[in-house]
Amino acid sequence: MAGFWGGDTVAFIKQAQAYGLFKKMLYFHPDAGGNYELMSAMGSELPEGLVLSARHHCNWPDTEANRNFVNTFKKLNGRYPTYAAEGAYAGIHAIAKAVEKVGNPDDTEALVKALEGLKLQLPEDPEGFTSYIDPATHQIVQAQAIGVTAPNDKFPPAMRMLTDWKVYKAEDLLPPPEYIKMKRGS
Amino acid sequence: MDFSFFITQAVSGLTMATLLFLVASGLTLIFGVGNIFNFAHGSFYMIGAYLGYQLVGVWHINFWLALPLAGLGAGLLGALAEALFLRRIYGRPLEGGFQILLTYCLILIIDDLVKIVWGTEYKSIPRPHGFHGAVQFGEIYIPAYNIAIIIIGLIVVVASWWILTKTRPGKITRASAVDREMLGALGVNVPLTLTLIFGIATALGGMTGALAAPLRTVTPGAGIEVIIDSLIVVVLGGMGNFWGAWLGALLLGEVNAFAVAFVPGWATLFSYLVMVVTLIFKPEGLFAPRSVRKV
Repeated sequence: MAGFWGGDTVAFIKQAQAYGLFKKMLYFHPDAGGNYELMSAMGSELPEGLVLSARHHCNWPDTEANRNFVNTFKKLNGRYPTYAAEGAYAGIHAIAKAVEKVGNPDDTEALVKALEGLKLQLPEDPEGFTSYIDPATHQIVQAQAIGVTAPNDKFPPAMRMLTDWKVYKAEDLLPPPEYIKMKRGS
Repeated sequence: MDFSFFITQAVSGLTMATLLFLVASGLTLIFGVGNIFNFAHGSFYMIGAYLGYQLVGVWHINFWLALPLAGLGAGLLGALAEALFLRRIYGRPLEGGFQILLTYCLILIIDDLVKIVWGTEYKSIPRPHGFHGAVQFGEIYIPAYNIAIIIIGLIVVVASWWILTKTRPGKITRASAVDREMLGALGVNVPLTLTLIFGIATALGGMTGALAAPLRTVTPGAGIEVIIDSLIVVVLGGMGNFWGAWLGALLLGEVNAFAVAFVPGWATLFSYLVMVVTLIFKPEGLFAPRSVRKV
């Protein structure tokens, strides 16, 4: 299981491949492994069969909202979005919605209250789900999908994309309240 | 620990040592000859990596042809930087301070230049044809490309030794490390010599950037990572001591390889520990004789 990020992931996969690591064990890399940047940097050099996930996928969920976001981004920027780009998009929307609700961009406390529980319809939301900000932890609550690398040339210059999705519902991923209490030492 | 593991780690360390030497040797050469600490050396390494990407990844030129070309490109830029900028601060009072300022400026400019030309996304060069796999001796896996790097390193070491000791340009290089004024008095064009040496050292650094790129990522931060390690090697070997750089690189490469295997949480510490101990007990460099010898 790996926790690398960005360029380190590319370097690790290249070096590990030379040592035959992927023949000996399964490679699992959640959160930042399935970043589109990795797939566009490595092209067909990226091995198949790696188990990866990311905060946003260009090819999941296959909803109109996601397709719209990905294609508009491509039109504006000449490349497909990484999860960082999508995260920035989500962030700006959250800020805009909070400010719209409160009316005054300088009232910090009111903005905090507005953000708690805020619902955001984002490209990575599967059908029937809306992301929201958890009032207890101030973290965004989203569904996650983990996939396996396989040949796919629909998003060049990437030659591998994730497939064989296993989807985890957002409610199943929330930390239980007792755990939060324990972590906060209260 | 079994034998095969030991060999795998030792070879891995030797690969790192080769890359370290190739970069640090240029750095120490520039210091020995010109008394300049080229902070921006890592940035030229990075330019070499990007040129390598452009040649191999975009224009699909043969990898082995692209290596010297990338080095040449980086070397030309280095020579240009020396002739246009660094030359102006030679001999100034507080030259050391100006060196750091100027070379640090070069780092910032080159880093952003690279982002403007190639964009901010990571780039990657695959290993050249035929070098994707590993050579297997029983349980021992040695990646084929690592062997290529080690061989290239050895070629550079032998070629450098031969050039520095047996040829006139090599002797001029060594002479300029000892007494620049005398060299000028003997009729050698010293400013041109310095520019050429700077260019060659930078070309070596740039070629290493392209050479190391299949093992790593081509990214705007690559220069900073390399300069710190090169500094350690140069300190270990002695500032300006070309052969010291080779031994220093070997030491650092192997210390790192085995520290990572046995005390992974402390591996980075060991690299710096070796440098700190050297600075305390033998600051002129581990491999320098009593009187500081250059090149």
